[in-house]
Amino acid sequence: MCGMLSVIFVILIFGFLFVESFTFLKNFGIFRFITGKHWFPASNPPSFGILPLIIGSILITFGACIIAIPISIMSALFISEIAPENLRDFLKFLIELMAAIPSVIIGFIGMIILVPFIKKTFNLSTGLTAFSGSIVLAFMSMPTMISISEDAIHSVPWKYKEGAIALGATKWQTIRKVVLKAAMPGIIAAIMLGIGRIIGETMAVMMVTGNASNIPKTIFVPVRTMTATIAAEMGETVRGSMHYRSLFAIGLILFLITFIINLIADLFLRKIRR
Amino acid sequence: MFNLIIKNFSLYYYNFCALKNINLKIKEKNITAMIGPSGCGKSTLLRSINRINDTIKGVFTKGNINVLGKNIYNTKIDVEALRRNVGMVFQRPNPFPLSIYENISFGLNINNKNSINIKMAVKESLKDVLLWDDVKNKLNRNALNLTLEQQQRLCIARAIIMKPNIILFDEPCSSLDPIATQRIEELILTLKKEYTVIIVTHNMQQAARISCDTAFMLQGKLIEFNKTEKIFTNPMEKETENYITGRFG
Repeated sequence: MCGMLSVIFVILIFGFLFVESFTFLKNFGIFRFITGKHWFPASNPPSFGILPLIIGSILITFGACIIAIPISIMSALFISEIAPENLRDFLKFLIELMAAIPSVIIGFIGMIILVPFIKKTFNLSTGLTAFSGSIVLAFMSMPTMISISEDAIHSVPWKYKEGAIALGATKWQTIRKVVLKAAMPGIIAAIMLGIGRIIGETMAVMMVTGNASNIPKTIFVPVRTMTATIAAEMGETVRGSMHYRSLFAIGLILFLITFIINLIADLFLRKIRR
Repeated sequence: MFNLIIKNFSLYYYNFCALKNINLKIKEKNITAMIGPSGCGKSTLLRSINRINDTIKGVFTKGNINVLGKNIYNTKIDVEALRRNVGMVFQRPNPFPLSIYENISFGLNINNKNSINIKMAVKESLKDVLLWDDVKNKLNRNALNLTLEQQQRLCIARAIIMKPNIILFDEPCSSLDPIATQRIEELILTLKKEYTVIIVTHNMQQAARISCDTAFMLQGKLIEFNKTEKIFTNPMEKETENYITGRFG
């Protein structure tokens, strides 16, 4: 029953986004919308190309994943397998606390501390870059990733470890070849949830990435994400206008991207379970 | 002749003395059974022989266990090498959640034994446990899809691929049905030709069926150790007689 309800909600949300953006997509053309290189919704004639926004979102997400995934898996392994019991409890508490920090606060810290730091270390004209966004998002997604991976690693049955030890495996071999593999479905679920949080995050990104809608050539230039565009411009649009509907269309594309990511993860999980 | 000699061996779990001064000499290429009521320490003793008790907090030991003439409780011993030489099969089949092939080759792979043809070795050991015909076409399938009996055979194959000297069985049939139990017992009997087998069992008939020597333990002490037929027909100790005639346990 509840399962059905959540499916209905997802369909309703999709339907709502679709209805709101349908006339826009029909008039402007979905291909022009996705592959257009310029986002000038207020100029005359307006240009609604979201390629820079899509690339901005993907670039930041990719950077954040590269930072967050290895650190998260290693932290989870350390907490679950290596740390003594009291340290383990303390670290778990700390990580759950980290997860509870509101994103705007993290964005704030990023803006005040991280952005100037990046400007100085890499000698850039501005510290508001995709790279800053990636760091901030990695920091935000790590608590989720660590906490869920740790649960998955911790619930690997003792009998697997015992079996590996009895065959002469060292602690590290046991962790790498048995524990990690047994926990893999859970770890992938953790990573997917983390990516979901990264790609959908708005506030913190808006504060540290500079919001310039250019197609970035490196990770050290300002970018604008899809989420930040919706959040920043929704207030200024006229209800029912082309611009207003184009923001819904961005939402629709974002929804499709996260949907595809989850679908891939699901297929992948099924493959390893078999 | 004896490749396992246990000398004045005691084991403590925090303050509790779980094994009291055990002395035992076990013959090579022979099946030795350990029987006794639950909690008598038979599994603990078995688990001391490959030092897998080391993984339990609060355990410390006194005395020696000599495997092939070396005291395995010497601090300088290579514990991983010991465990490669002393295989173990557990109470509940515990294949890793990996493919059948990865399960069997696990021990060789972590060792980087490049000189050995792993594919051949996997085939050989699966044949030895009479599992090859059942699984030869699905070596890449997850081992958890096998039946419990097949899983236990796989665990035995996983142990014998290492060519150990001794194989320890910790109640290997307790989660199997009678027919599967019989077939695993037949398999264990064939292992005697090449390996020293020590089996812990709560099933006295099983001990009588497959073992040559039997050790009877009670409350952490070794009460009696003798030829199996002696233990079951003409025990020396009163406690042994009481146990095998079913007065307690």
